[in-house]
Amino acid sequence: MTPPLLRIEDLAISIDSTHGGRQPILTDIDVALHAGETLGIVGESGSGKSLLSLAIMGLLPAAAHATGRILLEGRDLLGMDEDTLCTVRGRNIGMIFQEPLTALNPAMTVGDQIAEGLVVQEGLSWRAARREAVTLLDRVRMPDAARLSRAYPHALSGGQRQRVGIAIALAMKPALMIADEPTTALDVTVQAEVLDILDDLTRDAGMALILVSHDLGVIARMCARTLVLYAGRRMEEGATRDVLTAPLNPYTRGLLRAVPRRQAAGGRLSTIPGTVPSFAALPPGCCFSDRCPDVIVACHAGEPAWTPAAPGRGVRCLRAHGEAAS
Amino acid sequence: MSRAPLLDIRRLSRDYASGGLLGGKHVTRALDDLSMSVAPGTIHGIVGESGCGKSTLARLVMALDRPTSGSVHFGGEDLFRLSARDLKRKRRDFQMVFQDPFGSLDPRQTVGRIVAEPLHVLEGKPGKAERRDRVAAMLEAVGLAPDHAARYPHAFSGGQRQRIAIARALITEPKLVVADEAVSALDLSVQAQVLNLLMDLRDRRGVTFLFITHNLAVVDAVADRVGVMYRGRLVESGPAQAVFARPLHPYTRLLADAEPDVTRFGRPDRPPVAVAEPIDFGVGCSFRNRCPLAVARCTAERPELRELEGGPEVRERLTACHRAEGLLETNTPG
Repeated sequence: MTPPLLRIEDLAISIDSTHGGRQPILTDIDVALHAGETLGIVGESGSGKSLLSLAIMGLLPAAAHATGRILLEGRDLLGMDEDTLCTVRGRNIGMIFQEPLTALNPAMTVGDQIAEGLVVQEGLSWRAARREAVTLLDRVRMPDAARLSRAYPHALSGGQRQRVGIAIALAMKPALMIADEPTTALDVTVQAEVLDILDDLTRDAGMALILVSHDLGVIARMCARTLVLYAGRRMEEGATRDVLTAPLNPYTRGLLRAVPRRQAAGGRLSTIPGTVPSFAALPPGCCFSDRCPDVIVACHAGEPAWTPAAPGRGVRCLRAHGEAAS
Repeated sequence: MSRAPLLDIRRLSRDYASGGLLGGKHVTRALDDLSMSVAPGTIHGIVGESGCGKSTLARLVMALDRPTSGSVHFGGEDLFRLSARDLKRKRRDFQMVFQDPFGSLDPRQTVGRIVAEPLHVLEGKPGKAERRDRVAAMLEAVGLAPDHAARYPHAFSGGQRQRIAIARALITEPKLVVADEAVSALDLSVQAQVLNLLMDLRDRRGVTFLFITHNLAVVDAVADRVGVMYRGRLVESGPAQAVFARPLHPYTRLLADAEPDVTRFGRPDRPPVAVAEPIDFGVGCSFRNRCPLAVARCTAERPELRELEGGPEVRERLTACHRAEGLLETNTPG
């Protein structure tokens, strides 16, 4: 078997706290991703999912400290100096951000923003790079690409801006694309089209995709595998269909039950009691024990270890094995 | 509907002028001849994508803006014919909850002061002790503790802040609460808690909600009735369950098909969703450039909201589509 494109080993990230000391955020993260694979990372706010995608991009804030390894094509990104990282970003990893308006430069035409990377990284002339930009806009199904490449971001709709964001990330033909809530700010019909475009790119170009989202429906639509994060920990991982139809972790089950759907007359939606705890106030033992409907005394005693349940399938829960058998 | 409507919107239109300076003046019709009514004690959903006019509708219902033409009758009174003084008095009866629970609460005020704020503008403003009691009761009603009144917003999570915003909206005991994307910014596990709270407030206190959102699943979960908006017009309305089970307008069906679902894995079999930019045609149906069913008539004649002939599945339902009968035949029951 070929070595994975991306291999994250025992990654932990902590952040300098304002009171001195370091606050652990991500703990015990292991991920392997091959070319052409799609991985969904699911989590609520405060789960550490955005910090993880920034770490893979080498965009951690100065206050963050990472240990472990993030290997991209065998090279450890955590040990790299900024100059080397700069060529990896863009060339090997592309990123699509949630809010396309803030991610774009308002004072530059969108065509030039796409061309910029090609000029800087590939040494193309501006003329050739602008031509390439139009081709890229065509690929992300921008209507009237030649004309709109000369437009400024403010003149475009939300869906068009996100297509520009994808075109910029695509310009370098990255082997890995990280999309952090790429469609959260978009209308559902526009979202469907942007997801179709991303889907085509992974199929046709063999690009690996990490899609970070809080929307389980988007994950089901896009990703072959899913990793569920809670409070900076892996709670469950597996084939998306398995995770969403036969979840092993009570947190995943709770999330799935909380998805809004019509109830019988007078019925109420299922909820997970309480709120996501802050990293500074995690309960002792399992980080979900204070909200878990299946909690037992042993859950408070210590953090459950990550346990492989089947090839490609793992869970962090003391009670998961009983559940898996039943 | 047997009961007299709490909210009766008649032929409401709102134009916004833009341009000037270099380009010529351009008039955008944000709301176009919209009529609808909301029965008391119900959750009435309004669904539509950005630019469909749903937030303009919210502003007009809240009397924060004036219509170009048409009227909003609240409890039988035309809001835009009331004197400024009468309108101010009337405002206690309708309140609003906004999308962003971080931006809508003043960070320098205590929660108690934030929730009590609407009471300060009332005539016959209640005394200090009564205000404190009402704030405490309201915080409990939305699932917070009375002693939370002494804290500041930063001490609360997103879901708790939205509860504070709901408590503030309810403190004047309004008949109507307009909720504009009120749960869109919340995490899944917390969103369900807030949706349940809205249903409890409807059932226990008889509060009426105009619930505006882009999220069909959320509306389907809580709304009694729903209206679907496209380009400033109501294109379909009816009981929420029936509308989503068997859409009578191709736009409603497009929305339902496009929404991701946790039970649908991988790429759907449907043809790629066509996202043409909405165009202001002036005549005919404004959805026709995206509509798989469009025929010549859709170019010539604007479809008005109408009832369909048929059985119980079309009862109390309206659609603004010339081809709705065909849609009814091809739709498999959901």
